[in-house]
Amino acid sequence: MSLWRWSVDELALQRLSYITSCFHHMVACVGSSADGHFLREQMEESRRRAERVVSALSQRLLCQLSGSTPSMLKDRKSSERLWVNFLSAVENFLSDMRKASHLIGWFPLTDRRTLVNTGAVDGLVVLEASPQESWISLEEEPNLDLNTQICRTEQLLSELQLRVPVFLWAVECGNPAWFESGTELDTPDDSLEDLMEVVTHSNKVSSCCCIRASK
Amino acid sequence: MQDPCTGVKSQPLRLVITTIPHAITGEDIVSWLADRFQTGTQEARHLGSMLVALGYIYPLQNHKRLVIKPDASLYRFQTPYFWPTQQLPVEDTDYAIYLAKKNIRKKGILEVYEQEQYNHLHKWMNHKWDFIVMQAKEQYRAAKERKKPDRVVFECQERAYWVVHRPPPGTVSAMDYGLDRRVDPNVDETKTPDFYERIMIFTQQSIMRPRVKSSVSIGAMVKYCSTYSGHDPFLSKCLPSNPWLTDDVTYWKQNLHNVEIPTKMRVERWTFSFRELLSDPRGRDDFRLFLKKEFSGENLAFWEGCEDLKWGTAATMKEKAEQIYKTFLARGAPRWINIDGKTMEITVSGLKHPHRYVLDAAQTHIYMLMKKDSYGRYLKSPVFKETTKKAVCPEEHKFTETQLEHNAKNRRPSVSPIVLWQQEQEQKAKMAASAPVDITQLCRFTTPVPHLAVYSGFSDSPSTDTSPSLPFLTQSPACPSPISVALDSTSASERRLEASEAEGDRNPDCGASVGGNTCRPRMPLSLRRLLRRGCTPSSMFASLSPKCHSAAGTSSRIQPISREDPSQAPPRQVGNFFQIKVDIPPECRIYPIESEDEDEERRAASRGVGAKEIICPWESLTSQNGTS
Repeated sequence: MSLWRWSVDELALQRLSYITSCFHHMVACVGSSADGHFLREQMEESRRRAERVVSALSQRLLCQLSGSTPSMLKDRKSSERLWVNFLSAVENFLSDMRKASHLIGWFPLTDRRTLVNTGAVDGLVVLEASPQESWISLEEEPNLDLNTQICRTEQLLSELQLRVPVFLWAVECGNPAWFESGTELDTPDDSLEDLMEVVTHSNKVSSCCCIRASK
Repeated sequence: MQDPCTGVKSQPLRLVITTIPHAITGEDIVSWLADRFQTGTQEARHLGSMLVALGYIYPLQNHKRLVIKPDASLYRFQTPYFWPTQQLPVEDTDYAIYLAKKNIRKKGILEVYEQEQYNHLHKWMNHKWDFIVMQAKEQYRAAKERKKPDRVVFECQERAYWVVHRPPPGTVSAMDYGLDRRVDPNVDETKTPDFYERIMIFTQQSIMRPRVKSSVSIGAMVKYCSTYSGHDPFLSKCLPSNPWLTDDVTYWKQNLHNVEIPTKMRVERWTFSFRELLSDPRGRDDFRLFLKKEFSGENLAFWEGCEDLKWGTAATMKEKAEQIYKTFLARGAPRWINIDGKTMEITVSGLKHPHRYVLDAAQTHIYMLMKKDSYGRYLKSPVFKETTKKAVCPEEHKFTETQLEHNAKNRRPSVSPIVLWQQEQEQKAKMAASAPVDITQLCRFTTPVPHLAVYSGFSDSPSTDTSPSLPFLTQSPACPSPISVALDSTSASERRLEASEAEGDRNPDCGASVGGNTCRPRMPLSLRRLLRRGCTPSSMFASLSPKCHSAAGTSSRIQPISREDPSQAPPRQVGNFFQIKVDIPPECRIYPIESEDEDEERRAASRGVGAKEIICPWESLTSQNGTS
């Protein structure tokens, strides 16, 4: 029973992580030439989803950690680790949201000419609908404004930190420092340097980063 | 700036894989800036470099060097998310995620400084590390889902962002701005009672502030500027040449601390103000030489000692203060300085609990004394005239291009400041060792004005053996000392008369305090009364003791000091600061520096032993202070 519970929580955390990284990519495009209404809508969508995951996960973890169920030491440890990761994720998401609110304030999309020509054309990272979110009891919340969400998340964060007596810094991480990334990420990936090789008019390929020899 | 019509011409960047729009060349940027802001190319280049250094534009080639190159090298605008504003704070967590992502991408091959940062962050953010790794993986995966050109762009942007905010070692970062402000100045302040209280205090202080007419202050500024404009290396030529421009260090060599022959400009600066003279070590040396000739070197020595105390290490403070007291302030000190009673009192009482600024009052007094008195004479003195005559005015260098290049190649490091400092210390020690010498030379030419001591005297019998000052005795009746000449003749003669008469009466009253009626030749000579500029009391005693002996014989009784008051009255006015010079008398002057209260104090003190006596915290009443 407990095993199933851990994996759900971990998956939920991973899900949250995914959503927040998509959000991160999208926020990085706000104000640039890749900005657009569609991007903004996607951002709204993703942050709402994130909000749902955050609230659900927070409730679950709160029950576990502040609950009086005498859990074993090992369980307790991993539960604490999860807790720390969750808090860090929420913090990270919060800072991204704050940046997003500033950027949206500066670039209101009324005039496309005010957007910065960064070279990016399409900043979309399409968020996949995940079946895993179905476990979250869908309470249809009214659509939250970005700023309201920010406030709510801040409050949630402070509340969580007060209610659960876990020392964040006492938790040890599971990963070694120089981890080897799993094979699923090792797609034949051209390095940035390769990608940056510029084709000049004289048909000589000179490297932007001065690393690769010209062909 | 990116307006297609009026902005910088942008072009698509052709890469091997694809083309990415919106790349701009350095030269286009620079020319656009020059055009838009109506400035020269240099200025536009600086502005462009600032933009790049701050991270608003990033270079595509050579991404670590954040300057603008006005050639065909390419740049791109940074996305607003990565702009360096306070509203978008830079977090270590983000940096950790970035490094983790890079680690994934490059499979563990990071640059050295990045590796160090990575390890450091891993240590300090250990608890978050799982999250960081997870987030890095997710962001990496999300990035892969983007279109390739956008992905390239994003990665370039991120890399540029971190070059700005976590610069590689050895680069100058434009982000160095010092500490963060406590309060964001752009935020509206809430109107609490505290806020209003602060406003009230501020306005009250503004009202209370002393005011100067703008005409006066502007006049002062104009005067300062006109005085110093010729000496400012920015405004006028620096002779022989500015080392920073021509790489020729003659200027520095000629203006060292201990140079024999100073430059004309330097000497001219000494005439601007006393502060200038003192702050230039060469000037101070010259002044010291002058004072030595005038036998008032102890003033400067005292001032320097005070500076040393103020700026020295805390551990040595107590000893320094003690040393200074013993050398300059104590009764019978070898280099006694002349400060008024009040200051002396404050100083000595402060010395009971010495701290850095305990000698401030005395130092200020001496400084003003030197400034009002010695400085003026220095500027008219032969020493200064000599220095001015010898001062050199170097020719201006006129280097050709090749010579400049040659100079640039031959740059050498100068003498290490440690060596210079050591030299200075040696010099100081040498001077300290030879300090008292100038004083004994003095005594041939001084007349001890035998005013009575106010304070408890002390015996100096051993010094009676010293004979060198004896000759002066023979001199004084025969050839009046320079001082007497300057004085009003009546008062001088009166004084001399008194000197012979009152000798006997001069026996210390304070002998009583120590143990009574002794015929020992205790000379209760107040150092304040004595005529000196560095005249040691020992020599004075020596000169007087023969008289004293004779006098003591006649009047073995000890008379109260108060009796002598009336007889002292006239000489007191003259007896104070005598200018003693080695050369011809007529320049002697009397300095009525002692204040009225000092006179009163003296009188009061002389009225009885019970009056306040200045007691050195380090010595008891009876100790022989002698020649310390």
